[in-house]
Amino acid sequence: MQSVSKAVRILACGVAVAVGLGSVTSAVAQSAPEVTGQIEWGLWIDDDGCQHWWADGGLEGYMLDRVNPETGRPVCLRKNTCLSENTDTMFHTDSARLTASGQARLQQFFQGAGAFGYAIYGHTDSRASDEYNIRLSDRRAAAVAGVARSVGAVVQREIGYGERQPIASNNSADGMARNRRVEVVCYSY
Amino acid sequence: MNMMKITALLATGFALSGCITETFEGAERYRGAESIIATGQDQGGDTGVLTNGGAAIAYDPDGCQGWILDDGLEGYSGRRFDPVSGLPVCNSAYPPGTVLRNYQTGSEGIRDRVSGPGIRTVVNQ
Repeated sequence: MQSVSKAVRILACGVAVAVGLGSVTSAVAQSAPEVTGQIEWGLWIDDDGCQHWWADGGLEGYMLDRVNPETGRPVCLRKNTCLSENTDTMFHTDSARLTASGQARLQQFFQGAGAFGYAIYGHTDSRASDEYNIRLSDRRAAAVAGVARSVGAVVQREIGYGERQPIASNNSADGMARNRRVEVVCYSY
Repeated sequence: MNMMKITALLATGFALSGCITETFEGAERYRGAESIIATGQDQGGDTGVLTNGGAAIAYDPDGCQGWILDDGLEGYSGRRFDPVSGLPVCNSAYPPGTVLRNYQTGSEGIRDRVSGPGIRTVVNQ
C-alpha cells in the first residue's frame, strides 16, 4: 500500500510540474524532460501465464503489466487454458450442432472443472470468409456455453474469434486442424 | 528486503533522526540519471527474484481482480487478465477490497505489519 500511495504522489507531482511548465513555455516546443534514473525490469509470470515487469527499488517495489505495444493486449505466452479441444469430433461438420460424444465430453468437463467462472472461445481455420468464420465460431462458443450452463456452471463470456487467433499455420492440413478448436479459460482462485 | 535491512533502517532512523543513508544493506545513495533506481532482483539479505505464480488475488473497487505480492518492504501488484481474450477478470463473488490466498512471497524476510483502517473506498457507478 505504501508503494501505491507513493506512486500516486509521484504522479500528482508530475502533473503539477507539467502544468507549471506549460504556462511558462506555451509558445515553444516541449523541452526534453529530465532523465532521473534507470530501472532494470525483471519478469514475473502469474498463475494464468500472463507476464508483468517488476523491480525492487530498495524500499519500494514497482510492477507493470506487460502489454503488446501494437495491440495493447496483455502478454500471456503460456496460456493457462483449462480446456482446448479440437472441434472436428465435438461438432458436426460446418455446424454449431454438437455431436453426442461432444455433448457428453463437455458435460463431464464442466461438472468436474470446479471454477467460479468460465470464458469460452471459438476458433476456426482460415477456409471460408472471415465473417463466416466469426459467425460459426460464435455459434459454437454459444453451444458450448449452453452445455456449461445446463450443468450449473457460470459462463462469464463467450466469444467467437473465427480465424483471427491461429495457434498454427493455416498452410498445412495439420496446422488448420490445430486451429479448429474451442478454448475454455477457467477463472479459479 | 529482510530483517537486517529493517534493523539498519531503525538504527539509522534513531541515530540520524530519520535520515536514510547508503549504509542500508542492499540500497545505495541516489546519484542522478545514471542511477539504477530499481532492479529485477531483491538486493537484500534474501537476494533473489520473484517466484512465478502463487500471488494473492485482490478485488478492486470495480470488482475486478488483481495480483498482490508482499515481498517484505516492497509490495507489487498487477492486473489479472484472461490469457486468451486479454479481458480483465471481474465478478461479484466477494465484496470490493477482499483479498484471497496468501499475499506474502515466502522470501519477505519480516513479519508483516499492516496499515489498519484509514479511509473507506467509495465507488460511484
